[in-house]
Amino acid sequence: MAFNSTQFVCFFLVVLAVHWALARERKARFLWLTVASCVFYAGWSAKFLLLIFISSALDWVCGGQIHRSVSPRRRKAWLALSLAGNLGLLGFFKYFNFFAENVSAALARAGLESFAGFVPWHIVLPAGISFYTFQTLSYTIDIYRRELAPAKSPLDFLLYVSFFPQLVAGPIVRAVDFLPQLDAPARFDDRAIERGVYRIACGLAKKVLLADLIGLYLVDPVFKAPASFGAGGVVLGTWGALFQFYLDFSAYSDVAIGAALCLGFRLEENFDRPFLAQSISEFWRRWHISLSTWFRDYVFVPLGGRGASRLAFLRNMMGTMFLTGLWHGAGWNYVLWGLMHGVFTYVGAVFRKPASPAERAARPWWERTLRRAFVFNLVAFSMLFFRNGTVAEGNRGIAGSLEMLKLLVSFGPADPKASIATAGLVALAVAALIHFTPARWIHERLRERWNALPSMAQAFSLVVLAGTLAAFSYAKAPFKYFQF
Amino acid sequence: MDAATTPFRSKSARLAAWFVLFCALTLVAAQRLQLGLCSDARHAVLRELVSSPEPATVVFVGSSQTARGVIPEVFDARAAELGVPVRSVNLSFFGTSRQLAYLTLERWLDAHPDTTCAYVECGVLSDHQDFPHEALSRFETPSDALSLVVSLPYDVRNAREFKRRKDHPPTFDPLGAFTRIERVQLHAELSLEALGRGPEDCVRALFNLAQRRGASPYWMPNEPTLASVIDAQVAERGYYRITPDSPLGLGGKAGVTKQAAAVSYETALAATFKDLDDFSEPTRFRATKLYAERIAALCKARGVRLVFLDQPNFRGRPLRPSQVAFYSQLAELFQQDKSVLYREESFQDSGHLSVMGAEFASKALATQFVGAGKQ
Repeated sequence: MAFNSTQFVCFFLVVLAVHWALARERKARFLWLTVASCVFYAGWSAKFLLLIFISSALDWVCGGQIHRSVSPRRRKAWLALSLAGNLGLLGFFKYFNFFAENVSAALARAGLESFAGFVPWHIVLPAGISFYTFQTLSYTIDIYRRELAPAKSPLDFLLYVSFFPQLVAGPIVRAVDFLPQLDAPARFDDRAIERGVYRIACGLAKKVLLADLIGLYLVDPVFKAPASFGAGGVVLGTWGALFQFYLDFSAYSDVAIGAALCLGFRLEENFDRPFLAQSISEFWRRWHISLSTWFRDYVFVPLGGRGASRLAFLRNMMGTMFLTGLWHGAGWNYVLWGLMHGVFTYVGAVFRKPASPAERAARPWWERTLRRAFVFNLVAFSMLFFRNGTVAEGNRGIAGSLEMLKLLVSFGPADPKASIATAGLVALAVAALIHFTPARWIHERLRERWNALPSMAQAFSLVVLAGTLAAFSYAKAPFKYFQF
Repeated sequence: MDAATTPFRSKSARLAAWFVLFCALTLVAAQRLQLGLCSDARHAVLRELVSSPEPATVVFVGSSQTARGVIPEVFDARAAELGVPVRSVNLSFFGTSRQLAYLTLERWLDAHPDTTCAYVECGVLSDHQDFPHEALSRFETPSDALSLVVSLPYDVRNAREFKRRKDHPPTFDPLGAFTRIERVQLHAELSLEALGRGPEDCVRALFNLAQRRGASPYWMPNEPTLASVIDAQVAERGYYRITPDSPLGLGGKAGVTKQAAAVSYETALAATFKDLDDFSEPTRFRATKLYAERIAALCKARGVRLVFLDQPNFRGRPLRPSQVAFYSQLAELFQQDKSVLYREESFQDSGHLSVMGAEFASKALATQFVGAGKQ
């Protein structure tokens, strides 16, 4: 069940009403939320619920054993079991096809041509597996590090893993942030619900009115036939692609955070206006925060972090960004994208003096603008590889990216008959305007006005918005991060 | 919990209540005719056709296949030639599902009790679950939606799912319980979608109204429903068809040529019926079967002769026995090769007849109609 569907609106209203009706019954409330989460997930595939149950059961047992064990060897063994189980499932479902395709291609190149294109099974990627696997991993690792006590009951733990607002596309919630909220008594907060509803409405509007329009009218045509649009079109297309991904994913996070807020839970922010970043490392502190901090805490730092030498730092950074790229998809283009960011971040960190937020703010406006433009274009450039996806996904893959790169470098002219639809450009301009202007100018003012409305006027505006969104949902495009 | 912020007395609860109420009101406003939860253009067009004062006694109901496959003027002329003057009307409209056909017919019969014969499309496309009309079926009334949810299941989610299941029929499914959950969930989703369609309809109609500068908020301003094109054609020859040199006409023709190259004339004729789906699998065709039964009961109650009309595809699927019989009769009548409807020139595109094909079919139908009336 996608957030941008009428089914979800109806589903959520029912879940919300029953949830607060059960506010005093802790167990019944959690059971209700867990069942609702399973129904929500069954919208994609009921069969893959089994995977969630298996993964949860494994980590519930491992987490408990790690906590109870005194012997460091036993603790390590249980942790290893958890890691192997979770990463094994993720590896099999997400990377098996990729692995098999590469092996068969290598065998074919080695002369065994009968292996060309041979893939024994075509594994379907279960929705959200990358997200919930990382959640359950953080649970056992945090227990192992003695930073977290195990969940009080299997139901609590299953709710943590399957909590529907963040189940299929994040944010990646850490047990250390979520489980304590289950212990706190449910407190109905009218203001929080109001904020949550507003956040949901904003997220859906962002997705349907901006991200989808940019994708449909600007990005898709340019990435499909870049030669028709020339170098200028490629630049606009990559800017559009970057904005589309940001708006799409942050919209999902908005709805997830808003829905959780309505249910009385607080999820961490996942984006912080990333295109205001003045360096690549700052960009990663503002973009997909739950993922970048996960990799920082569970991969980069354990590998040694910045390390004792530049070489060690380079190794750790590239290793982390390689995995970050691979996390996004089973394709060499994603790996390349991750490695590019690894190089950008490394170069930025090594050759530039780190600046505190106060120092960054104190820079003259033109310097801030130049830095932001540089970072934005660097990330947009990497998007050239990311957006083209893999050939297996029906995209043009790295070949498509190279063609676009060639057009850029040679200042390729556009076909006079080809033009980008105004709707795409207008949506991009609106998105840029909202993103780059201070939050208090548009966003906060709008929220304050909406909060001040009586409930009837709020409901009326929501109905108008719902109708508008439905009328604009031409493509019924799914959220982009589902595929990861 | 604080008494002042009891959930069901809060501003949020009022907001939710108002939201649901407004959704319901917009639903009623958008679908005031009978809460038929179908937001496309077809309801408005059908409303106009159904309320037509023309004293027709023969009615055709179906999808675009029938809309383009039957020309009432030709039907009437042929019947008159055979000594039975009738007036027919074709209420068919693109994308009409069996459910919608039932509602249309019911409305027509309410307004025109003198109707003697109803032709209802029951062909390959309208019964096939891999065709969008049925695969993406829109339930017509909340009670229909709920009854299908409760009584369960016709099980195909979409075209791809249909193909998958057809290629690999389930034998033993250890995860059957999950499949069942999936089906229940699908029907629940469809019902919820139906209930949420009111605001969408209202806003869409408003946008259309603005875009078309006050013209009908439902009619699309391009072929095949551009009013000026329809008017000109109706004035010229009495009926409307997609013009062959329009983009739609050219695209359709290209499809026919491609299909002709892919499936030879002989192969098409030699294909057998056995591969076709029928009503033998009760769950898959639950909705279409349910409405076929309702249509039959309706016609019986109103004393109307009912004919299920099976429309052809261009070499796409094997012929049903009824089609073979029909085409043979057609060939005899008009001294044509029995495969007249499998010729390229008889098709506008691979799913719809051309003017020539429709003229042949309409004449044959009229001949059958008169013959059956005399028996």
